[in-house]
Formats: sequence, structure tokens, C-alpha cells
Amino acid sequence: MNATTRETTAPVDRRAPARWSRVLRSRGWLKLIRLLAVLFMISVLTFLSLQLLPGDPARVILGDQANDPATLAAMRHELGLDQGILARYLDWIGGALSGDLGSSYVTKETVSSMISSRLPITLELVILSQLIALVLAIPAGIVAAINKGRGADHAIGLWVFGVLSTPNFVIGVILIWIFAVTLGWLPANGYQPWSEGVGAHLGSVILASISLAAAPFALYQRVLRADYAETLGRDFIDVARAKGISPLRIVFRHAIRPSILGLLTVTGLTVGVLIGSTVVVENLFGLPGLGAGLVSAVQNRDYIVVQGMTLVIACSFVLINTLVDFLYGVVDPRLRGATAGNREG
Amino acid sequence: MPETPLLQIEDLVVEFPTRGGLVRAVDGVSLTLGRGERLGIVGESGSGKSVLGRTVMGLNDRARARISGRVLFEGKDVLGASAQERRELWGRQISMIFQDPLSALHPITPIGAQIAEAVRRLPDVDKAQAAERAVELLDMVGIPDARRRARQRAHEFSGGMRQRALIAMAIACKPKLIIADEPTTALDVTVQAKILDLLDELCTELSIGSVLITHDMGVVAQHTDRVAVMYGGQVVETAPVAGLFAAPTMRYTRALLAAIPQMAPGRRSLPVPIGGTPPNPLERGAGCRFAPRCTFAEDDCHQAIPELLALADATDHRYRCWHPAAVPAETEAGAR
Amino acid sequence: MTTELTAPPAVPSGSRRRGRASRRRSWTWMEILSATWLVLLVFGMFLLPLILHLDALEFDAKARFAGPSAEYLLGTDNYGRDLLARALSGAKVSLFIGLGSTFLALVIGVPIGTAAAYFGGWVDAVISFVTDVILGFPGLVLALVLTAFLGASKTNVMIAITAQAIPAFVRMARSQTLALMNRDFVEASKVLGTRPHSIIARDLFPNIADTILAFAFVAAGRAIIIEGGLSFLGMGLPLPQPTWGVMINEGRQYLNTDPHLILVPSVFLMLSILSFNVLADRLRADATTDGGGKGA
Repeated sequence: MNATTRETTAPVDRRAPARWSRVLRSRGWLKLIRLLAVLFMISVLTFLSLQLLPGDPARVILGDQANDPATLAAMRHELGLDQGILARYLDWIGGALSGDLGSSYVTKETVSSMISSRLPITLELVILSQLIALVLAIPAGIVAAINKGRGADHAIGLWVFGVLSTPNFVIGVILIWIFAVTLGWLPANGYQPWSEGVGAHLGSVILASISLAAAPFALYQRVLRADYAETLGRDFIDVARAKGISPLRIVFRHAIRPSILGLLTVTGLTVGVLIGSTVVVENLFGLPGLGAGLVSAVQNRDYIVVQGMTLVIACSFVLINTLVDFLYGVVDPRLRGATAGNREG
Repeated sequence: MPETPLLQIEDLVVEFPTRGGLVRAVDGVSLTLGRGERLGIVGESGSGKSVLGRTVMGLNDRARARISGRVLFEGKDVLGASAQERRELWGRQISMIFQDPLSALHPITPIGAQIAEAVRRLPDVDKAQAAERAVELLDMVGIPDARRRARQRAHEFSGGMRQRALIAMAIACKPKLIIADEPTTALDVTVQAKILDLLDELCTELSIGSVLITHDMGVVAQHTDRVAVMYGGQVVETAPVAGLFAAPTMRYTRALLAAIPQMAPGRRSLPVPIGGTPPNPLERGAGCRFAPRCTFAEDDCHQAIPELLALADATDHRYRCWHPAAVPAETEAGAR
Repeated sequence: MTTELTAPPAVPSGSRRRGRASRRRSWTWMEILSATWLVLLVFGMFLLPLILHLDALEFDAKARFAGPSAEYLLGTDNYGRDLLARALSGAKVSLFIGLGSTFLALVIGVPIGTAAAYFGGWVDAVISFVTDVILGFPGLVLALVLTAFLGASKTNVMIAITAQAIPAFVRMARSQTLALMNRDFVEASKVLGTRPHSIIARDLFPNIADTILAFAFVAAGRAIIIEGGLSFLGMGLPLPQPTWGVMINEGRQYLNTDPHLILVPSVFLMLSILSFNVLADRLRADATTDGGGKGA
């Protein structure tokens, strides 16, 4: 809001307590510092997770082989246990920042190369499932809102509620049963890279994407239905009708944009949930993504890999949420310049 | 044969089913409006005046409201019209101005684009012409620096400017009728008069008929030709504005006038508030709607609803009262 | 406007705690079914094994992959173990962990969130920061990694699921309290010089309780999903304890021949989560029509 126009009324940032803090907030400095602090704390917690292991981490990791003093000493050195904890953290985080997260004790592969081969698959799943969820939820939400309180709304609502209450691995199993076992249209399991052909590739990820999309779809439909119904009750919709604008144009142009903010926010917040869900779904469908990697690392007690992958997952989650927060201001010009602190919780 | 009036409302009844029962918001209203005429509809909140405006416009949700009676625009039935026919009417023939200009403007679309959208209802107007016309219209309603302002959004406008923009939108297609529902209630007093003057000016210039819905007797006195006073869903008195102020006949009209502070020099009377609260539409008695609050009510007032009768010496001045005031207000107030 | 006519009668704010029962909606059939399912499940998981002499771990080599019969009401799995017995045993785990971790998260999270909102300033800044950090880990990832490092046991699974649920309660309580703080009656208490703890106890908690309770039902459903996910991945309770997630995971390989191995635990899981969600929706609707938990 530019303060030069006198006639301007800007009700958005009235709660900012003092002028200097408003400046600080509006510039986004506070957000940036906060973001860095959150990332730092995440790295510390991830690093410290190794301390949760009962007893000597090196012994736990080595299991039976810990009886050999030479191997044990090598592992202790590898883990940096022979150094102080601060030095060990600095060493680890320094490596992380330069792309070195150590290497797997089990496969000897470096963690960063594991991540870089697995991350694209997880990202593809997340993006595909977001697209599926949005493409289904937007019409479902609008149709329900327009028919609010009538049969179509109740029918969609019931369906959505059922989907919302079904864990993704159950949905995945149901999809496998229908499309792989019964109909035989799609493979139940296994990953086909792009090089095997577009059809084969998409066929290998589509069921997983739909399983992932189910819960977000239900959430988006509910959010959009509520916001859209509220928008339809606002005066400017009546004004548009009174201008003689066609109902279709009102539905698709006038009412959508003011209703989309809530949807955008939850879409962003859902990215993290989806990354969490890939852990289960990739495992179910045998897709070699980050989530499946994390699970097999956990199962193999490959703690270095667990640490590295957790760090990457958590940091990307936080960064994506920050990005969504930023986009929020771009989409709604009323909030531009006056975002920050006011919208937490 | 007189020409067909611009707007005829005949025995209009609007009801809403609610949890408490059927609410009759508009109860047998009949009104006529000539071309270029300015009709004021006055009443307290809950008197049914806003519902009346929306119904005339055809904006009420047909599934929720039960409507009977007739609304004729230039002799053609509005209520029975198909959605398509009604849409032809909206914007082109009838437009509406709403109470709260901030919520009546789209929050994200620039003001100019919103007006251009209305302009494009006219045949053979392309996008560029519409945008240009929108700037002209903004200029016409007195918004300085219209070209720059057209690119701004509702939240960047002040209250008065928002209402000006809405007026620009309403006159974009030079309609024959504008329905203004409390157009100045949300505005500062200082801005109110300017907006109403602007509306008057434009309506005269473009010979647009107007229905001005308000709770403010002062606004009615200055900005309308004829007045209908509404109470409890009914028209309780209707007259040319001069006649109404010269001889307010129905007790409620009189009470409304007495409630206005008189600031003219030489006058001594203090405003007299109307006692009680507006009636609950679910608990109406059999008699005159105003009877429970009327200081002059007698037994017969509670028995039956009075007819809308014409004054003996002025047939276009009709009122609904069992014990009408026959003498000017001040004299009577003094006598008591 | 029409809204004036159709709006429900205004409720005087501040005195909402009593006298609202009369305005409560009657129960819909969905809500009745949900409550019934949960009650039946709780009674069933304790009583049925005693009445029917069920054993979730007993093998029956003669009745592998059996369909429903008088002896095995819901059939048997690949080892001939009774699916009903296993599902009921899984119910104990899911409900214990789901409700237990939700209760712990509520008891820990709500006071923290309320304090953050009430005291503001540094307290709020620190609490919000810590919440943000924990929320940086997706719920299932946090639970998975925690159980991985702590070791899979009933207590540790519970700790892990509680840990991932706390931040949501903190945020919920914080935003609810903030919304309330701006309302007149809390302001009035402050002006009258009431002390903080008694404002929190008398004015704030009763007024946010409805909304928090509704949220607790959602959280319980979520906790059960996460518990299911962990055991599905083999990172939940140690074997041989049957859980719904484990049953679904084990049934996967027999999907083409014996889908009922998966059907039984899936139906138990879905119905339970659905029931929690339906009841949560109901509680939330009640909380908002009471005017207690506006916002958020």
C-alpha cells in the first residue's frame, strides 16, 4: 500500500505495533533471519538424533562386527566420535553445505549421490499428485459450493469424507487390486524410467500419484468449497449479476480468484505432508524415491543415510513453505508489502 | 391512453422460509414509477425495503424466496422472465447500486476492468474501446486522474470514490432505471451529499429513472420526486415528496419526521425518538403493523390492517391508517 | 438484506458456557453410526476375545486362507490365524496409541500454546520458533526417524507420534487464545485486575475447550493413520504383535488370491478413522455455532 495516496485506506497492517518493526517486517528481513534460524535448528536436531541411539552409535551401527577393535575404531573415526560434539557438528554441517553428507555404511554409496538419484522421483510424485488433487478438487469444490446444501453437495461431501479418512497405503492397495490385479492395466510394482518410454514411465507412477493425491484432494475440496461458497455470498457477485454478466463467467472469473487464496495456502502446506506420505507410498509401489530410500536406510540401520535424507527432506519442506508464503503475497495484491508476522498460527 | 410506466409493481409478496417459520418480508406492495422519475423508499431496517429492491431487480434466489405478484418493466414481466431474458435486462436496462461499496467491488480485478466489463454488454464494443470508455466514465463520475485510477483496485480507493466507481459501472450502458440500495449509508456524512448530487445529476442528464432505498428522511426530501414509506413489509404511505412533507398523514411517517433533528432557525422542537423496536416479522398481529409502537393507537388499530386510501384533495397521496393525522404535525404536537 | 431476516437470534457474548445445550442439533445418522462403531470396537476388543476364546497368534495349519466360517468369523490369514482376533488385537494398539498420544500431545501442547498467546513477546517468539522447527519435519518422517533412533517399542512409538502431534496443538491453542484475547470479556477481566492464571483458567480454557476437543478427534484419527503407516513399513510395534498396518502389509503378497486378508484390517482402519473425523466435524460445528472458536 503506498502511503502517498491520501484517499487510500489500508486495513491490513493495522496490527503492526511500531513503525520500525513494520519496516523490518515489510522488508522481509525478519522472515529471512527466522528462516535461516529454523534451518539451522533443523540441522542441529537432525545431527543430534544420532545421540538418541542407546549406547555407542558406532557399536549400534556395526552390530556384530563391533567386536573387532580395528573396525570399531575406524567407524568411530568415520562418525567423528573421537572428536568433540561441536567439532563434529561443524564438520558435518560444513560437509552438508558443500554437498558431502557422508556415505552409506551398507552400500558405500555417497549419501548425496543417493539423494540426487532419488529426489527427482519423489519430486515427480509430489508434483503429479498435486496436479491430480487440484484438477479433481477444483471442479468438485465449485460444484459443491454452487449447490451448497443440496444433493450434489452432500454426495460429494460424503465421498470426500470417506477419502479423507482412508490412509494412503490402503488407497494404494485398493488401486493395485483394481487396476493391477483385477483389470491388469497397470503394473502393481516397480519403476520404469523415462527411457523406457513415456507410457511405461507414467504407468509406473500413476497409481502411486493417485494414492498420494487422495488426501490432498479431499482437503482441497473442503477448503475451496467453504471459501467459494463464502465468495458467492459477497456483494460483488450480486453486482456482477446485476451487470448482466453471464453465470459461467461469474463462476469461473469473478468468484474463483478471491476464493483461491485458502486453496493456495493449503496446497503449499500439503507439500510437506506429501513428502511424508511418499515414505509409505514409494515403499508400497516399489519406487526408488527419497521416501523409500529413507525407509530402507532405517531398516538397514544406515544412520548416516537417515540423517542426510532427513536433513534434505526437512529443509526442502521449510523452503517450499516459505516460497508459498511469498507467492501468497503475489497472488493477493491486498497483502502485498504487508505480509509477515500477521498471518501465523 | 397514458404511456406505459417504466416500472409497475403490483401486489408483490416476498416470503422466506426460515427455521422460525415463513417470514413475509414484502407484503402486498404496489408502486408505479414513471420515466425519469425518482422514487424514494424509506423505512427502518427490516421494513422490507432492501428485499423489495432486490426482488424488483430479480436478484433473489428463486429457490429460497417465494414470490407472488407482478413486477413489470416497461410493461414486460420481470419475475416470470427466463434467466436469459433477465440477464438482458440487467445492466442494459436496469442496474443497481449497493450499500457497501467495498464489498460490492471485486477485490482483485482493477476498477477500470470492472467497469469495462459492464461496458462490454453493449453491442459492438471491443476490449480497447471498453477500457477507454471506462476511463471516461470514471472521469464523468468525478474521479480525478481517472486513467491511473482505472488500474487500481478497490482497496486503493476511498469509500466515496468506490461508490463513484460503482455509479460509473451502473450507468455504463445508460440503463433506464437505477435501483440504489442505501447508497450512502456506509459513507461519511460529508461525502453522502456529493454522491447523491452526482447520482441526481447523471440521472437527469441521461434521463434515468431511479429508486432510492434509504432510511433517511432527509435524503428523501432532497433527492426524490415521490416517496413510499415502508413499515413491516407494507407501503404505509406514498405521496409526491412535497405532499408528504407538507401533510404527513400516516402516524408512522409523522413519527419518522418527528425523529429528525430540526436545525432550521426559529424551530424549537427536539427530535422525538420512536419508542419500541421494529416488529418481528414472525410475530405480527392482526391489526395495523405500527399499532404496537404507535402512541395514537386505539383498540380498533389492533383489529385489522387499514386499507391504503387516497387523501380527499390529493389522489396521488395515499396512506394506511385508522386514525390519520389531519392537521400539520407541529400544531398537533403543540396541542398535546 | 435478506440475511437480517434469516440470521439466528444473536447470542450475548461472554455467557456462552451454559444454556447452549438446548440449541444443539440432533444427531445425524452418520454421527450415530460413528459413535456406535467406536463404542462397539472398544467393547469388542476387550470382551470378544474372552467370549469367543479368540487368540490372535494361534496358527491353524488346516485352515489357512479360510473364508468366514462359524469358527473363524472373518476368516483366517496365510498361517491360519484368526483375522477377527488379529483385527481386535490391532484395535487395542491403534486406539491405545491414537488416543494416548493425542491425550499427551493435548496436555503438553495446549498450555504451551495458550501461554504463547497470553504472554506474547519473547515467550511467544520462542515457542513459535520451536514449533516451526519441529513442523519442519513432516509428521510421518519425524515419527519414523524417532522410532528408528529410539528403537521400536510401544512406548517409543507413542513418544514419536506424540512428538509429531504437539506442534499442531500448540498452534491451535495459540490462535484460539489470540482470537479470544481480543474479545471484550477477557479485556474486561484484565481491566478489573484479575490475575493471569485465573483469567486463563476461568475465561480462556473453557472457551477454547470445545474447539480443542474437536481438533483432538482429528488428531486421534491422524495418529492412527501414522501408527498404521509405521507398522505398514515394519517400523511400528515389534512382531508378533498384530496391528492393522502389519496385517495390510503381510496381506499384500496374497492380494491376487485372497484379498480378504487386506480387506479386514482396511475396513477396521477406515471405519475407525472415519468415525473420529465425523465426530470431530460435529464437535467443530457445535463449537463454531456456539461462537466460542471463531477464527482459525
